[in-house]
Amino acid sequence: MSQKINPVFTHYDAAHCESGSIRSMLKNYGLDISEPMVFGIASSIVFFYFPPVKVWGHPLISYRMPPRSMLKKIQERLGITFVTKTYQDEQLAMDELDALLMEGRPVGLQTSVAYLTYIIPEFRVYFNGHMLLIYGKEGNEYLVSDTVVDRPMRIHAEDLRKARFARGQNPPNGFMFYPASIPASIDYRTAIRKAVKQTVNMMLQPLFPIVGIKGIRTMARKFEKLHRSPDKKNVRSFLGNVLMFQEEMGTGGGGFRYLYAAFLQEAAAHFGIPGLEEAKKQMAETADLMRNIANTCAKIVKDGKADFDLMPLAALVRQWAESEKKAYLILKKIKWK
Amino acid sequence: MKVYESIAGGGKRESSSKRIKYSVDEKGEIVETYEEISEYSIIVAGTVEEVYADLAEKARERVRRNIASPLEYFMYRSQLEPDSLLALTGFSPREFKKHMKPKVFRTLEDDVLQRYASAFMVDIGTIKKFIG
Repeated sequence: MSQKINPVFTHYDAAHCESGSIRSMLKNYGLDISEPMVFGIASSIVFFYFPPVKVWGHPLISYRMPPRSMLKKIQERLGITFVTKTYQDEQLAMDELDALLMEGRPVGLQTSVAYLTYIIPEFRVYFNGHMLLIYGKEGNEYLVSDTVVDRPMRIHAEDLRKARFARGQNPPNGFMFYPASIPASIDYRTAIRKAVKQTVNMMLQPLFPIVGIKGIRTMARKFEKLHRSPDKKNVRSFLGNVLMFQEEMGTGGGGFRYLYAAFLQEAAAHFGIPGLEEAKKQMAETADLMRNIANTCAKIVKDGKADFDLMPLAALVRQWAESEKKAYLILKKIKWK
Repeated sequence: MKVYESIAGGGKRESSSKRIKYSVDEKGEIVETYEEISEYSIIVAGTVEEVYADLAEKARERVRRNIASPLEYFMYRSQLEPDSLLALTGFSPREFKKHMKPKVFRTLEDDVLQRYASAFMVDIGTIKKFIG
């Protein structure tokens, strides 16, 4: 039986799985970087409202870029080279993982939450984009550093295999990553400037009604439409969905706005650009507003009453759109040179 | 997130319910704090469970009356939608529609049922024996 544990690996927990895994991986490989920096430099914040794709019977609402996009952007902007691999052969994927662990390398994996047996069954949802790190193996169990959990966990080899090769939307296909090289010096200023520019362009885009600030307004219209719906049970279920994706799934929308505000705060502290500090305050205000929306949704869902008014909620969503727009307009005006 | 860790003998012990959140402190700075499992998770898990329990119950009734295939019941019991089940099993929408008919369900081969069983995380016998 193989037995290998990386003796120097440190578990770092985080607010979000992908930014947390990349940060923990880089820190364990010697680059001191924070989770908000990874999140911000990868331009991960977004809003996407997409009715054709249903999640638990309701339109897909996304508050962040799709899985793996952070990894791509971090490589591109910080000049770090990651080895990334997907597999068709499950056995080969597990053998290569073992070989890397034997070399003492922690490895990042994309997995399905549905098969992560250390999570309670109620939360094992069919989400195929969960990132975690494996840093050792003891007998038939892998040692897991899942950054959304506050301590290392263990998983049986067969369960990990299932989690790596789950089917469904966005299948992981055994996706694995680890850094091959990290540059000696990194130009953070350029990376942050490019990242902020991309986020601003994406969120203020004028064309598609389902993306960015326009998408948030579309969601507000959906609330107004639902106000007239007689099927209150379905409306409550939709609000539950909004709540889940806004506050829980992968730290949620409000959580992502706080994370982005933390990125702006750190960038402001490094470069002393006043616009960044101002945008941070605005983004934090937006996050507070989103938490308020989540609390209102939670109250309606929890009360279970048939007579509730969705119009104030729709007004709050519109307020959120305006507040977030203000933050991007501040960022847009920044003179970087 | 509340999690469990494995202990010797294959058992599980509750381990943790804390996770990092970012929030604003009294000075207006964004800080990292630990939060216990939030009320939101509990509320949402309850709502999702309630919706699917309702759908599964209706499907059970339809299976009993022989107008739905047991696959429909297990789909909702597993909190899946037709789209996600199609993706998990790899069947085409046309095949799926056929399998949802009780008459066709009774003729399905074990290898077909195994694909559904894996998606529902049950064994084939449980699906075959289900009569509502």
